[in-house]
Order: sequence, then C-alpha cells, then structure tokens
Amino acid sequence: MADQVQMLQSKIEDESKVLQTLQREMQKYVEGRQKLIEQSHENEMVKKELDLLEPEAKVYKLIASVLVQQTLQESKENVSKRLDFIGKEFKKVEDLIKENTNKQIAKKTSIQKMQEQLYQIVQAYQQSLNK
Amino acid sequence: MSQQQEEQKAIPLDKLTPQQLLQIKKQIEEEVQQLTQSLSQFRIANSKYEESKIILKKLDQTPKDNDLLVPITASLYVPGRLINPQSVMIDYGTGYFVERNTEQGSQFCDRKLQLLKESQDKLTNIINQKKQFMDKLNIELQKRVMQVQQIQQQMQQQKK
Repeated sequence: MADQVQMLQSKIEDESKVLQTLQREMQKYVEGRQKLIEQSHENEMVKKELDLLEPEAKVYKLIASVLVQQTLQESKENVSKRLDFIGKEFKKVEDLIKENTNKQIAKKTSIQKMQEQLYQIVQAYQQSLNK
Repeated sequence: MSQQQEEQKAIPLDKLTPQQLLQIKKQIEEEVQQLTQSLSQFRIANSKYEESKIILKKLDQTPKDNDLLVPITASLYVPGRLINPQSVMIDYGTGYFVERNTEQGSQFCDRKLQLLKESQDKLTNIINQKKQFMDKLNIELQKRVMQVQQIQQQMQQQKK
C-alpha cells in the first residue's frame, strides 16, 4: 500500500509541475497575443491615414534615427504587408493557445483522477484498520 | 447584449454566499479602478492633441524668417530661422512620418480627437455598467447583513 501511495504521490507531483509549465507558457502566449492586437490597431490607423493622402504627399519612414523618404505607394504596400504578417502571427498564437488549453484540461483531469485513486486507497486502508 | 449578461449574473446572486459576493465585489472594484486609470490616460492624450492644434494655429501666425532657438539636446539650443512655418511633420505611427501643412495637421488632430472621444465614450459606458453591478452587489450584501441581524434578534427573544 505504501508503495502505491508513494508512486501516486510522485506522479501527481510530476504532472503538477508539467501543469505549471503549461500555465507559464499560456501567460506568454496571452501577452504575445495582446501585443499583436496593439500592433494591429496601430498599423490599421496608419493605413487609414495613408489612404487619405494625395499621391504626391511626402512620406518619410524612420529607419534608425534617420527619416528616409518613401513613395506613398511603397508605404501603403509596406503597411499592408505588416498587417498581413500580424494577422498570420495572431492566428498562430490563437492556435497555440487552444492547444495549450486542451493540454491543461487533460492534465487537470488526470491529476484529479490520481488524487481520487489516492483517496480511495487511503480510505480502504483506514477501513481495514478499523475492523 | 452585455446588459443581458449582467442580468444573468444578477439572477443567481441570492444563491451566492456572502464570501463569494465579497470576492466578486473586490474583483469588480479592481476592474473599475483600472478602467478609470485608462480613462485619465485618455484625457491626457486628449489635451496633447488640443495643445498641438493650438500650436499649429500659432505657427500659422508666425512670420517667415522668424528667429528661433532649436533644441539639439535637452540643454543645448542653437539659434535658427523659421524657413517654412506652413510645413509640419506628422508622426502617423509605426515609424511613418508625413509632411503636411498646418491646415492638414489640424485636420489630423481633429480625426485623432474624434477617435479618442469614441473610445472614451465606450470606456465610460463600461465603467458605468460595472458600477451599476456593484450597486446590485451591495444591495444584496446589505440584505444578508439584515437577515443575520434578524436571526440574532429572534434568538435573543427566544432566550428571554
């Protein structure tokens, strides 16, 4: 009985550690997702403003403390590409979050089962003592 | 839609224990605090854009070739001349800058102020909804306190 209990306890400990790692991972994903949302908003706003400009408007891009002139066309394309990229990254993160959630649920269920097993073993042992 | 959600939360309120009610109350209080902080950040952004508009107007009135001091660093200024008071550089975001005249710059500020106003209104709405929910919570908590007081009174009367 003592072996079983020890085995279960150490298994529960291991699974709990995995669960903690999953939770830390999840936090990173959620933070990344939040950043992507902010970037997407900013780029959307720039896109809207660029769409309002006339074709001869002087657009400059900040490249490491230097303002470099760009054509309006280039800038619009650049912002569109960025938005596409952000969209793809966002989808990736959402899939990762889904996967992580499912893994967490599975872990929690297995930990719960093992805890129930443990409880039953201890119960049975106590009952056998009482007889 | 969100009002319905609030109602759905309110229906089982009397089934919750006082500790749970207190917990929810704390949570909502924290949320309201954070949202109110965001609201004050909005106000700061608002005043910055309004200030920019005023400066743009002043630029319009400044004559060309006006003498001025240009900041090179935080404590080093260099004398200069205002070549083109009409032309301003606007930071659009994500590293893009556009050269525009003061009129277009002012319109840009107006558009941003409009966006800010819309977001502020949404935020104020959400804050008010949460405050209403907190009022409901407080009413429910008061009910419980009165119930407990009534029971205590009854017990005292029975002892007599």
